[in-house]
Amino acid sequence: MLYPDIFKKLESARWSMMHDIPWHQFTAAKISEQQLYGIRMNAILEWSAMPTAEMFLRDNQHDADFAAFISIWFFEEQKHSLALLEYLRRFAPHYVPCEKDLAKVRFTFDPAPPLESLMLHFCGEIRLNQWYRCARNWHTEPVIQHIYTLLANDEARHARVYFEYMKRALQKDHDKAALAFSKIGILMTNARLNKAMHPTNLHVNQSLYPKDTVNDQLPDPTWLSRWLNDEICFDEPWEKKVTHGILGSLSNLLMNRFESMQALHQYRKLLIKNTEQKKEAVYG
Amino acid sequence: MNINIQPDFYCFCSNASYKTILAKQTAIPLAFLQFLDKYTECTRGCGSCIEHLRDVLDEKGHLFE
Repeated sequence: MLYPDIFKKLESARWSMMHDIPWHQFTAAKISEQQLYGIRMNAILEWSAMPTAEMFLRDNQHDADFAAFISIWFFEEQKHSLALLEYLRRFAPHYVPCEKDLAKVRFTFDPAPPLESLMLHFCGEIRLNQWYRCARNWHTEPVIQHIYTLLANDEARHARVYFEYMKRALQKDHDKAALAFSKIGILMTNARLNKAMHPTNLHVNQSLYPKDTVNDQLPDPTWLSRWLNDEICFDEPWEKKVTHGILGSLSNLLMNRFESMQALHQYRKLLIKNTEQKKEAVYG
Repeated sequence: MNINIQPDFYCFCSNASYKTILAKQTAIPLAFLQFLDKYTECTRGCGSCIEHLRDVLDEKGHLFE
């Protein structure tokens, strides 16, 4: 069981909203209206951990260990939203979103294969880690820079925990897990297949299609791509860091060397072929 | 958590594999705290790799306190 060790590690790294954020260093002249608007939208986006946690608990009823970890993950993600909301409450109350805006990102996700969701969120954490590092560099106000650093580091720790659960899944059923991880790895490192390459941009509820992504539920669904492309400028070098993080981790997990998404694609094709051959050998 | 650096464990905050990080320490060995500061982003990042890297350096004979 991984949960007890993870609990200890994450608890020892936990920061306090009261004591570890230098609220007194706030410098009003160093924050713009555009930046405050971004913080507002980010706070709403982080709130979407709620339907994700509900999905994880529903789809992992067979896995008490992972479900227990989700209690920590949910707590820390909600804290991210709260830290951003607290920043706005203190320094720009007119930007605080209303409860209705927060509630709107809570909607039911369709059931999804647990291993694919696990990999999807592992990639999502790696991406968020880089988005927040990039956002920290773009911001000039010291308190929000500090908050984005804390958030980025939490996301990296979450990715590391998801990685441990992926390792465990491979030990249980290597081929099944490798197929799921490589499939999502290709999707999340290929901009042609998935434009924004983050779980909040994926369609998750068929009955609401086409407006069934978390981003569609934001008061301004166009904000995220504007924030990434025109504001924080999450460009090619940043994108490469995400790709290296995903492929580097998969290289370790799958005992292979994936220098590119194409190499991962080749691996997956071979894995499918081998799995089919194994099935034929068993069933004739 | 078991250490497995074959073939390429990855540090998200340093944006580098353990192999790349270890190669720097092999080329120019530093005391552990300097190593973290100069060759990794761990002290400014999430910190998850610090314990692992210490074990790996120790195992490879490159840990200097």
